[in-house]
Amino acid sequence: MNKDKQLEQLLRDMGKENIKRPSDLVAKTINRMHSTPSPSKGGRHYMKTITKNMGIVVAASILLLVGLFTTWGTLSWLSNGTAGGSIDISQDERIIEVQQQVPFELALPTWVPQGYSLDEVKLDISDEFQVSLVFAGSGTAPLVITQSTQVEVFFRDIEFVQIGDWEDGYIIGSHHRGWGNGPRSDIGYYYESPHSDVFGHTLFFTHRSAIYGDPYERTFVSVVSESLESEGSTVPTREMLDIVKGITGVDKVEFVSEGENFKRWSLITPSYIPRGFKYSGMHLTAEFKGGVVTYSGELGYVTPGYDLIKVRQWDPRRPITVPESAEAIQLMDTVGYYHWIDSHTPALTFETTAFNVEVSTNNAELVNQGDLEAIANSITSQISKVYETPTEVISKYHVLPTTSNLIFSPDASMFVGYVEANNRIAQLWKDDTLYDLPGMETLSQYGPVSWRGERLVYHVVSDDDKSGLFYVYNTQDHNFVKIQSTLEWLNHPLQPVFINDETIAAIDTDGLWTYNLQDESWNLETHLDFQGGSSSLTRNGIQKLSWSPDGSKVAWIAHTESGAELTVFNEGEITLVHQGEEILDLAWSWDNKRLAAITGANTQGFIWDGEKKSSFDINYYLGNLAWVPGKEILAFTEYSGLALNHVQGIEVVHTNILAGDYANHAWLPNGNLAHVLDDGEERYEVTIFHWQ
Amino acid sequence: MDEQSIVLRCQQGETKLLDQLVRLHADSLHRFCYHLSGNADSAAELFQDTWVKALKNINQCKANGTILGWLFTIAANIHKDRYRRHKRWQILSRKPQLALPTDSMDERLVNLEQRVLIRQEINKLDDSQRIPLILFYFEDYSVDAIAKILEVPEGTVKSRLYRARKHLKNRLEVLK
Repeated sequence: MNKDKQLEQLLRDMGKENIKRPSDLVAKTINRMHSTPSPSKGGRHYMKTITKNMGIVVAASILLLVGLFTTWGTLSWLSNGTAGGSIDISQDERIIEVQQQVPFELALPTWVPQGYSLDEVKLDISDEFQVSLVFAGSGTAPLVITQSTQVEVFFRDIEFVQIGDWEDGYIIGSHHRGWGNGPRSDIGYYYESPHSDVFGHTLFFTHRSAIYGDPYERTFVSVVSESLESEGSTVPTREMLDIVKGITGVDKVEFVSEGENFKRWSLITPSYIPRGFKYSGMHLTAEFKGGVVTYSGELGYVTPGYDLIKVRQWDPRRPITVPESAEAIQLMDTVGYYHWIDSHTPALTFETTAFNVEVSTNNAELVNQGDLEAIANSITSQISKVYETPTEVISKYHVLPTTSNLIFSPDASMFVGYVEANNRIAQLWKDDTLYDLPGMETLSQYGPVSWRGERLVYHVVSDDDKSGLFYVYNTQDHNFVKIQSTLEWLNHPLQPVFINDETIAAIDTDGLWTYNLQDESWNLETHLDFQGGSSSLTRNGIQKLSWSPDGSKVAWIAHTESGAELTVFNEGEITLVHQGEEILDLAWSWDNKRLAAITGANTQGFIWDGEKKSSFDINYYLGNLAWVPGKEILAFTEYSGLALNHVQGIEVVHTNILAGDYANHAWLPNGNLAHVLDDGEERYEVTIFHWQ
Repeated sequence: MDEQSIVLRCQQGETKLLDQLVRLHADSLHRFCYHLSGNADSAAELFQDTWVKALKNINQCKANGTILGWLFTIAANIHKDRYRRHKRWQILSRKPQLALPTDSMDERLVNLEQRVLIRQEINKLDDSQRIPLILFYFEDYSVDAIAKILEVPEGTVKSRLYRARKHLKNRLEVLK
């Protein structure tokens, strides 16, 4: 029998094999089908290709033949395809139809390479909304622009491209092998794989598009040019950048040498991988939901024989799930759970403060449990070294119930806390004793204290006395100086600070006032024109004020007709740092050089260094924005717990989450953490944590 | 009730009737999913996903068309989308899991090694070749029927089958 016939016979025989179907497969399938929403009677499609109205196409073609270049001629241009270059597809009926069905503004290209025209418009609403615009070209691979609140990319090496001045992340991953005998002329990385028969690039970025009416929501837009062997050449990289320019309307779209945005997605690379395995690539997914973006990534390691180790890492705010039968194993600094994902795939899953991790393999004989543990420990040991957390208990104190907003003395030996009584009063904790700070006799509201050595200053107002009183209190002898205020405010106590040993400062509607303790006199140091100009007060007044730790600068938020304004006053100069989106909170860094702010719907923030701003995402801000003294960490309470954002310059490079209720915490001047909790016996307990 | 009637009534809202088609075509579709995906677990997953999608898109099914062909198309499209996105993981992680024949092993042992090799090589084929190959040799479809399912000319089906066979033959020679 010749070889052809042999193969033929073999294939036929294989076709006769009885492949056993799992006995419960039909039942499981039926269950799953009917737990999925069924289509409506009207024929709503969950995934469809939007087609043109054929009547219009025919009419347009006829009109084209007679040479009438009217609106119908335009439609015929769309139906017959364009030769590429500048395009306007916003009036394409398919685009219009899809736009009505998705909750975000479509990102439409205004330029495509020569030879391409819009061929298909696809809408997938089976999971998240996803729109795909497919451009076809003669002799070339299709160009696909996809927009969704999710993105999934798979690459070995990546380059980063900056769009305009925004920090919106985007990645270009090229897994392209050269065509023919020579290298390609475009820029990118080349992916060497014995199995690579997919050639192409992906460039994706986050795009600000209105979702449900919120202009600050974003989607992911991917520009993909990918070709199977038979489909022709792909779009050169530089033209893909031009496509992105057209979509975003931004001229500056260029590669950057440093992977700044990559730091947001920096996964922990295991320092141990069994012999024979090599790094093969990263699979990264990101999703926008409710204004929050969450990431997960998967590093892959393979052998030539297709054995695989996967190290999957995801946001620690998403908990791990393991079967009940999982075996708990003590790892370095954490507990891991050994279990089987399926009959062929063992896995070890564990939590860390940086990521939750799952290490798995498809070959349990080659990669045993001990190997998985070694890989896991090589990850946890890195997290311990790089990402310290304030979790070592060093002391505890008891305070009155409802105590909150602790403000520690410079030597961290004392603190002032605020207690909710008929009003909000301040108490000093010192040497295990609580002292009521003066001002209670007026049944007043206490403002935040500011420390100078062993003294503190604060402002107290009441309904009867809106000017209120300033107090300078000496914690050594408990004597105090009462200072009548000539300043007027609107029911809120001011926030005075010491600017030197003898002078306190405060801001009211007239500007910056100082009071000399020797002269016992107020002086309007600098008049600040809050009416008009770059900053004006509305009826509500200044919403929030924040002094730098050394008292040299002050920032405030005012609400104006132009939106919220964040202004900084520094050595006589006024700088408008932000205008527009609402600002919820401010905090100066301990080195007095950077200002952090929380903006928008509790889901974004930025850091400003006097010149530039860099933004970061938040999983719903709840309060307590503060820089950890002495560390490059910006902390705040968010939905999942205490977020410790590690900062380099003005960039947030990594976030640890301490899960739990951290609504009531404070930072000591030495960087330790004070956490106030109800101890369950109707007492409040302050626990001091040290970093480890 | 015949298939076309079931489809029509599903399109009018009686979606529970689709269960009958699930049972009717379970073996054929499962085999197809197995040959596409290359292992039992992926086949089961693809089988379920195909039916879920079929239910969602039931209004797009032409009641007078080949229902099974429509299901094959859905399965192939799902697999293709996943394959494009997960190509490397699938290639790298897929270890051919033989569905060992349930009839006498003695008759098959001589060819077993070759079958292992062939399955591995089929798994590496591009979908444009693999799907026609599976339909022709494993599902006994004619060239004409395959052309209708894949919506390509008959000549295209023939050339793809030819290229697939040529590739497999060459690989068998190399691996011996």
